[in-house]
Amino acid sequence: MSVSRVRVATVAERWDRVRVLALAPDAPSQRVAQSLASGRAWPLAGAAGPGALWGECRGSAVTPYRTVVDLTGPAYRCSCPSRKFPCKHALALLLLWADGSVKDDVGEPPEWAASWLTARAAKVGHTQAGEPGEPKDPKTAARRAEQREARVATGLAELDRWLCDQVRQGLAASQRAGYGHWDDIAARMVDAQAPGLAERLRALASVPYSGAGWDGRLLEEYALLRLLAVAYRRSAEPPPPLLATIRSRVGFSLRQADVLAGGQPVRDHWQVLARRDLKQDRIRTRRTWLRGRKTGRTALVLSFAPAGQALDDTLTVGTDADADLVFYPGAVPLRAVVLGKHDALDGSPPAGDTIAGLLAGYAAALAADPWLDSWPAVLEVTPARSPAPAVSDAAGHALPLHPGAGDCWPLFALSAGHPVTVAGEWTPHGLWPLTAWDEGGRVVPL
Amino acid sequence: MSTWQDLVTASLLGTERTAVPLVAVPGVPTPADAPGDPAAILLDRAALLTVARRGGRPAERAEPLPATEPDPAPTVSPAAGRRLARMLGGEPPDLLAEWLTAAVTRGRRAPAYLLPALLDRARRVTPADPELRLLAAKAGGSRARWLAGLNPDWTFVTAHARPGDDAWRLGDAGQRRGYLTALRAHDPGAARELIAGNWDAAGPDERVMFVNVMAGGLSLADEPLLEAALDDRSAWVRKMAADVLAALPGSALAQRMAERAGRCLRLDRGIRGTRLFRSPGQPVERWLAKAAAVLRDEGIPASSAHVIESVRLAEALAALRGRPLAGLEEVTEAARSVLCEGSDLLTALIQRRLVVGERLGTVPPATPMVPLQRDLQDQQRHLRLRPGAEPRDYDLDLRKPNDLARSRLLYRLALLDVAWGTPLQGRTPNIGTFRESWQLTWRPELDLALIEASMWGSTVAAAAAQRARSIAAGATALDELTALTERCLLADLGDALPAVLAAVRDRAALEVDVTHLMAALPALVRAARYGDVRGTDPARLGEVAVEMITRVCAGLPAAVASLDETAEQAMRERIDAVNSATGLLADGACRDRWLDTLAVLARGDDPPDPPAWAWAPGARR
Repeated sequence: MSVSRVRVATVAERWDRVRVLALAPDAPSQRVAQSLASGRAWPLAGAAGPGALWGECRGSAVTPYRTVVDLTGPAYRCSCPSRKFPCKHALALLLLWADGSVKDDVGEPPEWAASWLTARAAKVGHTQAGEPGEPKDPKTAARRAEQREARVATGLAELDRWLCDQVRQGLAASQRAGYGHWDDIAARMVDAQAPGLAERLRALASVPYSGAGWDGRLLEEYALLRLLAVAYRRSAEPPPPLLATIRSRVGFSLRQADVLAGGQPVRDHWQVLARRDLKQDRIRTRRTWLRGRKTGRTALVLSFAPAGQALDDTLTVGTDADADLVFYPGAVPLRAVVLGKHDALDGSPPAGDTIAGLLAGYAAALAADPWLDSWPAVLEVTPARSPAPAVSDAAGHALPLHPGAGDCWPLFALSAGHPVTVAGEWTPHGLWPLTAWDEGGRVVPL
Repeated sequence: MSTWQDLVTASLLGTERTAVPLVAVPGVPTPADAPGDPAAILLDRAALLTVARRGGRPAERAEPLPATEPDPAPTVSPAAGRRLARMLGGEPPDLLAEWLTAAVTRGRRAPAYLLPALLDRARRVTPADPELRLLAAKAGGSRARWLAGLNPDWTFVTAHARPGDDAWRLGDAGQRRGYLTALRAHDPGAARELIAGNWDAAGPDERVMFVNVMAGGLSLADEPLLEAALDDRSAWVRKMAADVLAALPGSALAQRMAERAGRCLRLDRGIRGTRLFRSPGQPVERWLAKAAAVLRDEGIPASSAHVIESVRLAEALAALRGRPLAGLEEVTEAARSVLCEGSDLLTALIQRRLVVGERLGTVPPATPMVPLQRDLQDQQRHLRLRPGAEPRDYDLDLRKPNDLARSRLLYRLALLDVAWGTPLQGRTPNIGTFRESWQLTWRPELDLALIEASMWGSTVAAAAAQRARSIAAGATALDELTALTERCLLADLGDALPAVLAAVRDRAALEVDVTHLMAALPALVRAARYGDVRGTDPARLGEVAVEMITRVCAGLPAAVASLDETAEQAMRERIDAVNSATGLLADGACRDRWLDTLAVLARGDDPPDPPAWAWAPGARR
């Protein structure tokens, strides 16, 4: 009598509910997905191979919605008209699978699922083959790069002229000017393919209405823009790291593949200190600050998502990540990209610095990169009032809090007059507190 | 720093009017007197000083706050803290009072970082309901009292006191309520008598508060008082009393309401759908089914019932008219009455799609054609812009020479009244100026328009230029001419510009109203100074701008006479705009002329005779 061979299906390791729900773009999606994740709504569902799920969900339309999920991504495709990404059907299918209600041995995926999965696999394979950034035609790439340099140079010359005109006619006129005044020159920068400058110019539009001292702030920004324009013009003189910083601030972005290929990975236990989300136009940015326990280096990891999609959630504040990071080239290497994450560990509160130490560190970084306007701060301080909200440390020094951070009542409540460890961003307008650790060592995002 | 402030003041006024102050940047040797543009020098000095100030910023001093005494009560578990966070975030169900009661009875306190949100929430509750405030104050502990000392909005935490008997006689509404609630919990009958005694003297708000208090510890003995409240003058009191009574099982109100509801309920049954069977080869039905499909594609509901009814109507019409089969006329009339419900628009749609059809024929290249048509065909081939009957959308990137040429061609055709393309606004949300969107539809009438336009010239460019000249000669209003100038610049018709400008000169010399010129000037000067994405020759733009400024200077003194308030405000803004625009142009003579005009206005004299430079040769005085 032979024992029937047990069929070992190579299915990807099951995710848990929390991880699935974290993919949802917003809270209503989570709720609806949870209500949809029942067997009655899914007359057909199956899983196959290394990480593929498919299903048909009965919805309000005549034909059921067809959903396919590729777990090595993750990537989703659903025939429902929802604009959210992932849609509630994909989330419900993932929840069903996480609960173990999706059968692994239904056989081959149906034709509509199989065609999408093979097309995706082909595309992924294709991009990975071309990953290190070899262009298909080096001549067109060289020509395009030359054209871009020429356009950026003309655009910067125009910006220089515009800045001098502003100062010549007087900044007093900018208070009456309206947003169109800066939007015009920002549009010209977009024409010249220098998006970094365009963003800075658009951000200037709100400065004349920002209260007392707006003239000083506006002059500072204009002066730094002119510095950038002059530095780009004389790009033969600065050393390569500073040149890389200048180019990235003008708007020449490096492809992630090139950075990964060109840099040295730094492996360490990276403490995830703080996180801040920004929204500009249609893109949301997540800034995550990390600090290595052994090397002591700080890193900033940026991730982007268009509106309606979920932001990358793999780095949780308060945990440690045993990972390899590759830094972008620059005079003060801060921005980094995660090459590979080995493990996630529980973190202990970081050691806080003094205010004098923070200011000295910022001054040293500023000497290398004059346009730096956000520096990571981990301080052991007590909130105070001067009379604006501020933080003061044991040595009696104090720093004001950034007006954009509001009243920071949770920070005050947490400290109640005692010193706490606070992590945040130091900017020329003040400290922006992002995370605090309470007396039990538990992390509190602010 | 005084030197930074001096730089800021100089930049506010402008380097045209003040000198650039010398600043001492620590560690950098100051050049004595650097040659060059003063604005650039000011910006350079400002840059050095900015970085120096940011790097060398000293730490400030602040008064530390007094520390609280440590709170002996432990915090709730993390899961409970998360639930509180969700409730404070507004997620239903709102069981805040229950959560706080549970925490307080177990002797725990709320997590510190949620206290501000909790206190804000408690503050927003109406003063007639102080239970939430009391619970929040208790759950906050000593930290809440410390916070209340910092924020005047939260003083209710420290100001709260347990109500004693004095609270009833001397306290405010909140304290009376607290007293009543405590009494009700402790002795419902006594509370009821107290309320009954004070009912008539109380105002409507207080009566609502009484009813609310009675909701706690409700029993059938409260029924007479609440039934009396059902006839109260205030609607709010009546509503609250009805709610409370409805919650009381066995009350007379509940029985009355149940009877009334029973009379209103009934069951509904659904109808099953019908099916349609069709046999192929029936032209009338197929035509009408296609018409229904056309309507559905446009999003108009056309069900199978519509089709059946229209088929019957068509056959009936055919029978009435003595025809063996329904013809196009009958079918169209049936479609109009049933499918389109009498709408002419929808009938026209069906006609166009099914009867007329939409496919464009081509003419063989050897056909004799007007030279303009031939030139247009050549250009279309060269620029890869095929004419098509279906509307097609094009997004042109004006930095590419091919797309720029396409844009110019379309503007020239628009000048010749051959409206092949219509500019689209805002099709893609776009933040640069290089994108232009057009929708192109070729209609057979455009061929006729092209033949008519061939009298202006044999190539598109020459014809457009000639047409521009003729419009300029015949135009009567100045704003038409200004618009024509813009169109010539967009279509890159440099040969026509001198004629248009001459017409502007002549026209403006006769007209007093220079507002259109002033409105068009700033954009023109900006394009002349900073260049624009179309690569228009800045010299040409400069010519136009100088001409316009001359006209404005000549006409301004008369234009500002006797204006009312709103017109004055508008004129003031326009003068500001023209002022900054003239500063940008490199033409010194122009600027001086403008400043002289402003000086004349400021002096307030009667407008003098226009000076000699205002008269161009050939203009009538």
